[in-house]
Amino acid sequence: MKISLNWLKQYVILPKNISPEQLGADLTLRSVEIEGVESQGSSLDNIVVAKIKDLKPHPNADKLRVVIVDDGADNIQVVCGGSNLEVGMLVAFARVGARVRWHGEGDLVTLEKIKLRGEDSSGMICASSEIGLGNMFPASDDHEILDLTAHNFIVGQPLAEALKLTDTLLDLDNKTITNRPDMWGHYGIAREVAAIYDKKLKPYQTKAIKSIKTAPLSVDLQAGDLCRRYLGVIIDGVKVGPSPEWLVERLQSIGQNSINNIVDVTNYILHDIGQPMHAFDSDFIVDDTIVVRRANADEKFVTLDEVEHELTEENLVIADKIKAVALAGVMGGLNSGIKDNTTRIILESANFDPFSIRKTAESLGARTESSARFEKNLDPELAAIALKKAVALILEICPEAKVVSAVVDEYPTKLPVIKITTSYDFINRKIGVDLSAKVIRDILGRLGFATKSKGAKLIVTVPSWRATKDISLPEDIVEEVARMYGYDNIEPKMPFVPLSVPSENAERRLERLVKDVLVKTGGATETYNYSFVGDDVIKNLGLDVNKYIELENPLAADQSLLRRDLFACLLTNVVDNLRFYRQINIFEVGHVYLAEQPGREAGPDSHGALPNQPLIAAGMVVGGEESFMTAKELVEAIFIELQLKPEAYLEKEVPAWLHPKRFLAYYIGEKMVASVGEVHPSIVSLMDLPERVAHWRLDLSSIVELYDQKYLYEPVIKFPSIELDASITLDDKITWHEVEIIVRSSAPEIIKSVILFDVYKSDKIGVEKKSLAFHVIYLAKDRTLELTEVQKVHDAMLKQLAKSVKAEIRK
Amino acid sequence: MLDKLSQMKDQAIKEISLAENIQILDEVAQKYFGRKDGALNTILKGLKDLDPDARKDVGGLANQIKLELEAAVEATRATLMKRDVESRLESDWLDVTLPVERRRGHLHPLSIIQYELEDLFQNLGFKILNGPELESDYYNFEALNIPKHHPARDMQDTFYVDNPHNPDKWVMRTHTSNVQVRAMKEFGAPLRAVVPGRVFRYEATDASHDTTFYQLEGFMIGEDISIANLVAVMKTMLSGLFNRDVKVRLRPGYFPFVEPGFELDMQCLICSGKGCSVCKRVGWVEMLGCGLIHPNVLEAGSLDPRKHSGFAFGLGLTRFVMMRYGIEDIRHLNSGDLRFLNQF
Repeated sequence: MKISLNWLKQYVILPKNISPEQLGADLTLRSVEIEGVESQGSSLDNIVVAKIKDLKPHPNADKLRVVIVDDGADNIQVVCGGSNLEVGMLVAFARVGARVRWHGEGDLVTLEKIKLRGEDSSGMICASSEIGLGNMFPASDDHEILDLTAHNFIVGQPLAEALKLTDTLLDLDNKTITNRPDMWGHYGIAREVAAIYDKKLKPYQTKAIKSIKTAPLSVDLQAGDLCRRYLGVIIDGVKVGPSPEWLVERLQSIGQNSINNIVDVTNYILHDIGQPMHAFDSDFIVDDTIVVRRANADEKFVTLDEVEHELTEENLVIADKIKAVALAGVMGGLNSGIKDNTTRIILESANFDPFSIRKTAESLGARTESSARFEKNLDPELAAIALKKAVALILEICPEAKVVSAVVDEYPTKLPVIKITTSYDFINRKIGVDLSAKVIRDILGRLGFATKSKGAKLIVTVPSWRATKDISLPEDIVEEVARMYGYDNIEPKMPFVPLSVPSENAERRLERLVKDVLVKTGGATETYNYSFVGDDVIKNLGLDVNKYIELENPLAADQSLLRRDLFACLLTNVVDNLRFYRQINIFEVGHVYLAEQPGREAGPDSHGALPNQPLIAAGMVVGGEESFMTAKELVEAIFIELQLKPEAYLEKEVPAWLHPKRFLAYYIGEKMVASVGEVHPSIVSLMDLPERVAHWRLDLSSIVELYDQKYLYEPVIKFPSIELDASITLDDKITWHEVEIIVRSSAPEIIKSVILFDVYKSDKIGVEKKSLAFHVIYLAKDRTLELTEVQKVHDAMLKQLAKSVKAEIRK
Repeated sequence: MLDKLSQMKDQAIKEISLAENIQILDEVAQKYFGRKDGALNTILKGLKDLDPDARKDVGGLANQIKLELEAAVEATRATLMKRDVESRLESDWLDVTLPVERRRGHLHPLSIIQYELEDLFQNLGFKILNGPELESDYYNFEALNIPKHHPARDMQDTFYVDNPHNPDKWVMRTHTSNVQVRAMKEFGAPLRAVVPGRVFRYEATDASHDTTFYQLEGFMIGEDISIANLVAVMKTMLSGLFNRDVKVRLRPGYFPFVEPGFELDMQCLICSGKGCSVCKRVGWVEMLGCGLIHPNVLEAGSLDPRKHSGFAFGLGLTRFVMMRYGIEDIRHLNSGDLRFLNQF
């Protein structure tokens, strides 16, 4: 929102020596954020009113002319291509040093003295768009320069001064007044400024409306729940035409175009005290009767901007006996607006329910200056003030006009006056200061609050413009006092709290531990991906789209579902990175969303829990034939770090997107906590991936429940160990895991470790056969083992291998 | 006898000097000094057959020769060893510039900064909490004093989630503040906690906006927690984060779940408040939103606002990471691009 400094000065006298920048900074620190301060004429420095004295054709260019201008100080020669140049014309002349935009495009350039096709040119005769005045003086074609002859400007006068562009604008961040309905107009800002500098706020001048009461206006307030107050009045004899200069200037200063005198008055009121109003042409209102009602289902209505809306019973309309004439608080109708020949108007000043206005504006896509204010919850008292002011202005602009109806004021339920009981002590404790009662009451008084002391208590009466919800609690009073006292005057103080060690977040700790191993030991790089996936990707992977939770309002088709796994995103990462890297080792730790599993509670009165959102770690390895084993190393390195010993199993149920013959699952008890696999060959060929892409996955949310840091120590065994080797030939499909179990179970109490050191396959040992060689280390805790004893155990173990897995013992 | 000795000496010196390596030298030494049949020993053993005078002469000479020869052997040995080491040095040449495999991966920059902040807050006695990313409308909005159709909902464009099970409204959480009321209910007061995490906004993507980004929410609840406390804790936290004393200031800011609410600015560290391009010439950089927790929020968390008070703050983790590393485009963070990630 733009705030005009000149406009503000109508209502408050600023202290001397306060620059607009300082005002902006003070408002930002005490009340609302001012994002920028811009002085209106600053772009017109070095641009003056000048008169054309002489015109000659350019000797070397047909379209250019050599012009002598009088800039008040000198006669100066410039070369100009303007099509409408004439001797005696008043023009906007940019002296050397001025900043202009060539042909109204590109960046500002600083003018220098130059030669144009051999002729000296010191400055420029400007078109309106070249000096940022295109809106104020529209040009009919590109070559037309700005003709100021019609204005009685003095030659040599700075253009900004001549055009009265002496205002300064403050650019206010609307977000910071979301909770301040009183700040949506200049008078509200002036009130804050007056409070900040402890200056007097001038009263808002209005006059009682005098009527000749020849016509009855009737207002039928049917939807009283959505309209808190409705004021209306009929004015006859208005003459629609251009607005007076002061009004045009005010509106233009904040970037509003002047439309006609009647509409401009309502617009002025909106920006002056923040009350939206509407003027109807009464010729289009049947029987001077206004009906405030809910729209009928499927009622169609065309707004001023010629957009047709389909309404519902949620929408409030202003209607006559037959038809809707305005979308209440949002926009007027095309059927009843002010036209050039309008002579009799019904002026509306109302107060609507903020939620209803917001819902209507939102659902119909019609956010307006008016709806933006109503939805902030305006003070109903404002409606009456605005109507008085508007009527006075219209009568002033159209002296022949007369108020012909009584002022109708439907005001069924007045909002209660809010009184807040608090205490000086409460305010001081919340702020962390020790302010006197006088200081506190003085600050509140400046902001329009009435205060009364009752012992240590303080009773605050909230002014109506702050009472629509903004201020209702003692804490709200704390804010008023603190901000006006000045946040920068509050001395920082550390709180007194009991010393305590924060309890540990096991999931976060596990997450960090896992990432640490992956990055530092595993050499993997962490990626972050979106939580959203598209159904194309899911279908390509052969998965059921129906299992996925859907967004109601996705931004893009490829971001419409909530991920159930990290696989799809990581696979995309692989594809993207293969353009630049041959070896890839990436992982992500993130949440997935499972509709079928109940998760955390959703709040009181909820109908069920939220979906479970477990934390998963998963990764991809692209590294040739070694991919799978590298992935397995990562997973096992994590288990070692966590001191967990899960059981590894070959799993029959392999996810559809993974290779069914290359998959290993890790279980702790009944729970599968991790897996290592390889991307299915069909996906590999579909996505044109390298042949071997490994994928691993850890269910961190499950592991966190099982993980318990152990601090275990066993004394070092002081007896010597015996190491015996074994070499066996057996069927290729028998896993090492099976062999190891047989070996270990042969003498669990004295086998310390089994270490595979060779796997050999060759035609010499037979088709689909392999030979395994391994060390077995025997060690007893309580005695020195005898070789004969160990040899016996070892031989028995080999026999068992021969029996169980048809191993052939190699000597 | 003396002549024989001299001849032997000459022969020995010659053989010693001709030894090509240590092994030959050892053999030579053995030949002359060997205990059993070394030439010198053999001569010395023959001494007993001589008359005392001759014995004295020969013995003297023999000992002298022995010392000389030993010295010669050691000198030659030293030379040979030196030569061996030199030739080894030559043949040992290695191209030490050959590359080695670097098996160090990379943490995502968001993780790096998040952990830095977690450690800092843990040192100040704050718990680290988690909360659901897919959240109920209640915890994301209503419990935080943002009823349905409140204009404050405009400030946070929301992804709504289709709830297949029941009529409850679900959203992708728009801030990590969703954990405030959950934490109050779980832990009661006093409470100090931070919640780093992923949040979502329904927003068109460009270099500085993304649908997905990270925040760190923090809150402290106790008795008589004041604005002055809030400023002190924030100042300590930011000083710890930037490893130097920082200046902060509060401005009014509106967040429905705090009252009063503030924007907290930190004096620009680049220009010390004089104004530069980083702080857009204002001398201050907007760091976080904060305020005293609204009594309605305390009540939603089953705490008594007459007894307990607290402050809350929300730091834009993603924005902070971008500031720290000078990352120009937010979209790099979720790109999975190793050319970007390998730099951290």
